[in-house]
Amino acid sequence: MNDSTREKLSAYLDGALSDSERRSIEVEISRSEEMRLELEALRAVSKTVKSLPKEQLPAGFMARLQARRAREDAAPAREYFILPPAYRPLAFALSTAVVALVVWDKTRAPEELIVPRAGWDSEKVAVKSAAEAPPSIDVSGQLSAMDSRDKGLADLSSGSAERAAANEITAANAKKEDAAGAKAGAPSTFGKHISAPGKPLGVQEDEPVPAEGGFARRAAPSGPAAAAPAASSPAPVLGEGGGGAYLARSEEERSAINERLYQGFEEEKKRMGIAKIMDKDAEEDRLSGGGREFMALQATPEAAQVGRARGSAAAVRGMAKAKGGAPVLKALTLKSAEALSAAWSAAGLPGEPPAVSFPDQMAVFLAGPSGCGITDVQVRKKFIVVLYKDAGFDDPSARVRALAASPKPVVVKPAE
Amino acid sequence: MSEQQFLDEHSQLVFNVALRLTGNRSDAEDLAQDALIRALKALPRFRGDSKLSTWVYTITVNTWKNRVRAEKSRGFWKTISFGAFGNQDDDEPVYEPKGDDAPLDSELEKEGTATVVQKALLQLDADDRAIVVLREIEERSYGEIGEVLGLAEGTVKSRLFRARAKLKTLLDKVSA
Repeated sequence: MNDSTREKLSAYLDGALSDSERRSIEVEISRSEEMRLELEALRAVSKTVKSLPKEQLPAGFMARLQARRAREDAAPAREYFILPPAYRPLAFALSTAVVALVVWDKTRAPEELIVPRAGWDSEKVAVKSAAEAPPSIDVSGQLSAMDSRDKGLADLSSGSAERAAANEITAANAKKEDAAGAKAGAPSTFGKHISAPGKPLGVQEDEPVPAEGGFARRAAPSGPAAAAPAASSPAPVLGEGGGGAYLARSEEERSAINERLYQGFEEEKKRMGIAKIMDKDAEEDRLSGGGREFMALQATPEAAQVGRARGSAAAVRGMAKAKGGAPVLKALTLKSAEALSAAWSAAGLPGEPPAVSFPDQMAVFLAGPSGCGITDVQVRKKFIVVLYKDAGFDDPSARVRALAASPKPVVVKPAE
Repeated sequence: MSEQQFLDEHSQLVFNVALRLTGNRSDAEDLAQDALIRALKALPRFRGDSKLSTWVYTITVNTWKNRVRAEKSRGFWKTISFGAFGNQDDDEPVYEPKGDDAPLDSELEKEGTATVVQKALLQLDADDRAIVVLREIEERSYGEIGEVLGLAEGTVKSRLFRARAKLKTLLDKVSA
């Protein structure tokens, strides 16, 4: 007898077979003594188990049950693992806020911040007049993208970026020299040691070379603020006598002069916080889709003072140039009439700057190409936003806006 | 149905099942109270998809099976911790029939039939024991047993047969 038959016998015992199965198994039982004995054995087991008595509830069962319920109601089971339920909404809200903050910080458009460094503010520009400005305070040099076309520097774009910047600096120094020389009655040399394309840096063939180069001239600073960097700068000597003397030197001598000039230029870059002047063409390619390009200021020890570019630890956008090569725009906060006058003169602007009620007011001065001007100034919570257009302003006074004196940094942004 | 009415109608039923599943009155009372409290908490959610008695059996058997699993887990760690000292103690009494056991009549004289059958029941595994208790003691149908244990009727039928066969073997050894 197999297990299937025994299983049917067990079900037969319980009356769990269908009528046909029951009739079939009954025929088999009637014919098989073994099946009959098996059925009796199963029935005996079932009867034995059924014989187990049903016992009454223990005395006091219900009372103990109610007492246990009362205990469990008084001390509900701890369902939480880390935080009690009351704190869960707060935890959820905090975690959501943190996530939202991170996402917002990562996804928002980087704000273009161009903040003048400390050296460009009125403290260093504050001199009695442009003529008395110490040569070490190189306002025009720091406004490196001042309208070069106005100064006869239109050909800079054909040279290398380094050469262009060097010429700007040299031109700026020469301009200061002009101012000082005018006071002393000396002839102006401004613009006379600007290189033509392909010519030795800082020298024109048909003009006399100044007895001292722009960098050498800065070796005797009068302002304490500039004493250290100026003193540390080498003083390359371009030559003695005129340009003819320079050209009369051997190739090695001229190379040595140029090398010293280049070293001086590197020192000047360090002093200004310029670590690298990007290659103009490469930068244009890189930013061809961006509408703006940036040259000049990279991360240096002074970079934090120069400004900050959100989203990039390295790039400091100090000299943003409009697409197409137009020079840079900067804004200075000037806190004295002298500083404003100096900046005005340094920028080569005609006439006098607009009147500003110092010290209750300060002047925001926009340095950039001719025709640029301030369209709006927005005083925000943490900084002042100067909106500008780099062309279209005939009146140079559009470069100046008077604002209530504020220590906030200035951010320059193109007007929409 | 009020809580008191529910307790009046089902406390005895739950206790009897608990007694046959656990094998002693103390554990039976603890299990019955636990199951009844759970049933009372869940009573508002009872939808009437099955008979109330079937629902109560289900809660009782599930509560017991949870305890058995917990005990096995504790026993496992006890074995790991104290096995080296031979200090194994099973919470569940184990019936170990011996070849030279006294005849059933003599055994029954000592402990009574109920005790012997109860010890044999405790030899069955959890589902088989529940099937035997629900069928033989509570006289539930195969379908209702399957509903309580989450088993198909055919499974209940075959497992009930195997459980009976095992009980027969155990009782035969006692009476041999």
